Amino acid sequence: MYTDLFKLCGFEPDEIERERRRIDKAFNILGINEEDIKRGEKRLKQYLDIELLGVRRFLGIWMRELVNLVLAREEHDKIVYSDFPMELRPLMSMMLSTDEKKAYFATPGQILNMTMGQIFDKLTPFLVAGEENGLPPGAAHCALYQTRLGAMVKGVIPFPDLSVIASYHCDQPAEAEQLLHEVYGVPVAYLDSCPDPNWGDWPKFNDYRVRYCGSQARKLFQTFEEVIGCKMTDEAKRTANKANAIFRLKFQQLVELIGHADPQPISQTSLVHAFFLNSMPTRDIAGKQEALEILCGEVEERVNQGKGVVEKGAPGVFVTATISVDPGITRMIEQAGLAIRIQIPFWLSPWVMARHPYREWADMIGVGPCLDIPHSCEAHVAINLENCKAFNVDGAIDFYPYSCREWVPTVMITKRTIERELGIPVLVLEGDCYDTRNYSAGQLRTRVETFAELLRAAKAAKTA
Amino acid sequence: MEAMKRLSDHLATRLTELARLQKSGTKVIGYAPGGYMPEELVYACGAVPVGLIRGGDPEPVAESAAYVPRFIDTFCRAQIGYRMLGEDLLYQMIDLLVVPITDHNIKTIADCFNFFAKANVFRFGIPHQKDEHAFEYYLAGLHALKDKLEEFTGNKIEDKRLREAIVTCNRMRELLKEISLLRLSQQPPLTGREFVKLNHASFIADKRLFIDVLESLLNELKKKPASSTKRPRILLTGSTLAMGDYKVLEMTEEAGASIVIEEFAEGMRHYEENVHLDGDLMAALADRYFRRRMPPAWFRPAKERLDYLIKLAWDFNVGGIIWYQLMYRSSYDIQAFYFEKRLTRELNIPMLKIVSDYDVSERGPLRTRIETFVEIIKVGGGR
Repeated sequence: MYTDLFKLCGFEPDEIERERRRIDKAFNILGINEEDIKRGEKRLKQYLDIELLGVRRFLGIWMRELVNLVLAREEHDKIVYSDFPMELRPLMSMMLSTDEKKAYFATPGQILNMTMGQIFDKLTPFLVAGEENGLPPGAAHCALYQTRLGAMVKGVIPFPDLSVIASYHCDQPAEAEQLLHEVYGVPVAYLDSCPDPNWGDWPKFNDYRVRYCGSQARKLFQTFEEVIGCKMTDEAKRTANKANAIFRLKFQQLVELIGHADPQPISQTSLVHAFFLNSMPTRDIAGKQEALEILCGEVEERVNQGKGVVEKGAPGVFVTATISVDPGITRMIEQAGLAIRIQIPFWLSPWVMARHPYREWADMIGVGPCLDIPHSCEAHVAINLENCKAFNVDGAIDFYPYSCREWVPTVMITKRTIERELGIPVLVLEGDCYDTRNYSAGQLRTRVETFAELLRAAKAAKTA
Repeated sequence: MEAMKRLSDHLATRLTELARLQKSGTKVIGYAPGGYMPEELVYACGAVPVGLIRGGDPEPVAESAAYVPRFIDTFCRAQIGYRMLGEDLLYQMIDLLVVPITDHNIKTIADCFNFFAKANVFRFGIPHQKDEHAFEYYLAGLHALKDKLEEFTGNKIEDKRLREAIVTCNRMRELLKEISLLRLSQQPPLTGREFVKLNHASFIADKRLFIDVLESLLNELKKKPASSTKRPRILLTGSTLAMGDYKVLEMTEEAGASIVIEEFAEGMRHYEENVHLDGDLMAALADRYFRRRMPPAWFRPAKERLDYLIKLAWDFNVGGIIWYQLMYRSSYDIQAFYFEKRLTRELNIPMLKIVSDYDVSERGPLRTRIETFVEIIKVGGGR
């Protein structure tokens, strides 16, 4: 019943046959039925550039990880979880230090979002279970963490042997994992830091902030070695660093290619799968690299042919959403006639790539939060502004996830800064990247269409 | 009580006094009242510290919506509102705002004061756990604060003056502690509301006068005859108990119970521990304000705080706990879930969780819930 779906996800027929037993078992545990599969096929065709092999390959990576995740307890001795906003390098280096058969690494929230959410539109039972077990509704808890908690409590995915989580970017991951520890006894290792630079400091940062985060990275690696019983290797660190850099750089090139093309060659929804692999520790490093190469080639071809998903000459916008669960919202913006040039945080501005003096592995992890959005509210706003400038957009849509305590304070400041500095309008939309129950594309459409009209009129006036 | 009357008279004219001091060149340093800001450093450079601890009013919360969406802790939004409304002189007069960054809610105050109010703001970070690296980080933050205060006031912080300031603040904490512990008695000589107001006054009042008031008050309370009525005893804990946000205290007392001890992350001064005067004074401040400060709900692991709450409940012989948190303070919302399980397991006493957004419409349902809770304890629902 799922053969066509898996073909849409880049699976070859022989792989589907080979994996059938595992897929059956996982789908049974997940409660995926025929109706869900039909819905999944429909959504893939409706929202994604599914005719592109690169897109299908990326979908395949996520579907494989879904099956791996559900069956992890019976197939591996040890399970390690993480999730956004934990950086990929430490995760990958830990993963690559272990034997593939022994240890399974995943960001379960992201896997469930990209598959059960985006493809099957079937996250609600997990969200409800998360709400009933310590992350209650109506309190703006992060739906990513509600989803993963709910899936564990329902027995759909196993509890891990270790959770590795960052608390430098937002408050909730660490708070939710503390619950996991207190109620379910899961050991948790934290990568702590403090977003305390003063206004005007960006892009400078304190050495003691880097050293502190570095010290926490060392502690985290030590906990990992104790709990999982495996030494971290230099080879694993090198491989992780290299693979991460190669993927990141190629992804940057792809994002820039799309952002500067007119017409917009593919939907931004088709980039989400690649983007989230920037923080998901899959062992299929070669697979994701290959998928990206293929996608880059296909996009280039479209650009050369002048093909696009939005009319040529459409107003270009910067959008702050990276919606993993509901592709309908991003598509709706494009269908309103707006070319999404760039989404945060797809593009890394030059300063993020800047050299820093730290050469010790843990300190290199520690400097990460100081170079990008987690630096401060000022950095968040400055990066938004830089995105608008770099891609010469006609307007911006600040779609902010209401439950994100890091993001919320930046919204009005971003709006005023962009409008004042660049003289372009900013539309603020409230939403949720991980939960579709309260915010839908239909609900937001009128405002986006009006905004699009405004941008078209402004652009026409400018041309005249 | 005569001492309370003196304090009340002092507070009524305190802003005028601060304005006068400011006119004569003294800097007024405001700070976010989360217990991580050593006032001693401010005194030692000849400035006056004031905690920004007002809360409970709906208007500033409504006002803040122009600057930040509503999904931030209510107290933090209220601070932005008080400043932007321009009606509270204290929020307008501060020369520098010091914000120890504990979480993104508190950070929002700093961001909005910076961007929208164009205020002078200084931040330093609070790690979320207590290993030696975290201690060093906090200490580095204190040194940065010291440098900032010296530069801002033009006065060097000498050891001698810092020591004097520590002695003064230690004395204030000792007296607050002694007064608070009087509530261990079965018939406490002062109500929870009285103690909380006293505690709040410590953020604004002149320290020397305040110490004098506390000494007089302690003598008065020791002589006060015990009340004959025995009331259910309650521990009040949560995220923030702001000056002016007295609804839970009032309703609980009106329902016939006594709040005998409080534990809050913000708004209540922590008086249990003092600063040691031996060794390096900056390290001593960090030791008191970070290492020995009871951690709030966003600290890991949670055990230290949960153990402390259980101990407080036991020592003060309470029949129930009211968990009072503000809207969107996720750390407290999550911790309430597993703390209640532990409370039931270990002490088998009930807990009432209350979430407020400083909205007037909360009052009716809140009163019913508190009255019911007190009734449950009265009929034996508690220990």
